[in-house]
Amino acid sequence: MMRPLRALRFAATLIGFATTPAALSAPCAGFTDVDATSPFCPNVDWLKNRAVTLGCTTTTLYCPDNLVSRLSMAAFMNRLGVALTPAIVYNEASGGTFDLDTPPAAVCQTASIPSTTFPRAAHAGALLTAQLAATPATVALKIVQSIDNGMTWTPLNLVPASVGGSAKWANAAVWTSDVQLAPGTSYRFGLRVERASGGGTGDLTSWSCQLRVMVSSRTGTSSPY
Amino acid sequence: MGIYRIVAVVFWTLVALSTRAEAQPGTCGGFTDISPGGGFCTNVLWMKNRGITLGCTPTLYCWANGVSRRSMAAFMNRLGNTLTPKVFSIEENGGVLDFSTYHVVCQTPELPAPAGNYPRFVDAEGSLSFEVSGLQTLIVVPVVSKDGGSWQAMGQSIGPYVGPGMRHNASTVAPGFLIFDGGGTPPISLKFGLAVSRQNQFNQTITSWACHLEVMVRNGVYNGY
Repeated sequence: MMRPLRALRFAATLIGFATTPAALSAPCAGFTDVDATSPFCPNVDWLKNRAVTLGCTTTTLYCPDNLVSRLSMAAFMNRLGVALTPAIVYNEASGGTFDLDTPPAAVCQTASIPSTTFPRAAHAGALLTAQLAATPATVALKIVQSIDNGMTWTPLNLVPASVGGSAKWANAAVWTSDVQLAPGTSYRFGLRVERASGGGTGDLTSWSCQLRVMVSSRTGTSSPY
Repeated sequence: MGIYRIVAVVFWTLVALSTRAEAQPGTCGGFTDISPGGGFCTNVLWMKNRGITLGCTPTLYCWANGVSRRSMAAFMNRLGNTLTPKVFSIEENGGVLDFSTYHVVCQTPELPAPAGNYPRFVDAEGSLSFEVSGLQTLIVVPVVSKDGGSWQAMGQSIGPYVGPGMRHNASTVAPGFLIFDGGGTPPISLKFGLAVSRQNQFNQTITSWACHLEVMVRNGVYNGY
């Protein structure tokens, strides 16, 4: 008759054989125990890219059949909450005379938003309050982004907001569309203030701006999801 | 009877007694193993309404089962998708607008009814840059249509009092409009726009305009669900 301890070892051996991963066609997100063709692979990839879990005993094993302890659950939910919580980047600036014919590439420039391993979306909004000189002028506003730390800037608005007149204070707001941020790229945002097409010859005698960018998680349609 | 057998009998009796307390008559959202009056029914319904899990069978939630890491990845991925806001935005510009009737500019395409039986909140931001032929008071407000035809205001209107000879900018924000309470029939489709109308006695026209509208649809919790 098999003794209890030996029986337990025998059962454990059987379980071990039963749970040894079969040869996979390709690992999922670097995990050798999850097949890239598994319907769960996008879910596992999604979690890994948001650093909710990077594996179990090693970074090459996901241990898909292991149960989740309440202790681990607390860590996972905390990390998920961090990944899903939007981040707000804000900047404001002001100045005196502003030559609309030779404007800076961007005012109210944000600091660099670091890259991540997962897709994100950004939504930017900006306000400009300006005093227009006695000579008429129309000002065009566009939100711009830079992916080379401010060396070059790309407009995000197809149609600029615009405001104009002469010898008056003016206030204008502009928002971006849903800006998709690619994984592995750092971004900066700013506000371009320039003369509108046919916008007179006057300038600004004083101005102030505010720029607010909300960055949040986004789910892509393919890896890294 | 050995000591181990006595311990086992006591243990399983306690387990049976503790599980009987949960097995109340009635169902929670169709799950026969969850008490509708229990403290967890709200949580289980919240998950089911958002499609995170529909149960282990259509009528069982299997509340005492452990969760494998594989299933956890699917649940957390679905939760992340549910909590990630979806953004729709549009830009448009044009020429003369008369005010014999109100106009809805920056209309989004018809968006399909959101899946899942749960409430969503919609935040909308819009701006209109325009020039008028004379003195005018305008109302600019985000609107929504649930039938592709009639429009409903989503927020408080903004009524800028403006005059000729200037380019103007009016901005408006509608925060937290409840689009679906989770208990009724979901709309067939949703369509958003920016309504522009004349407020009172003036009868001038807009000579040119540009608009931007951004609509963010986000998960809502309403009456606990």
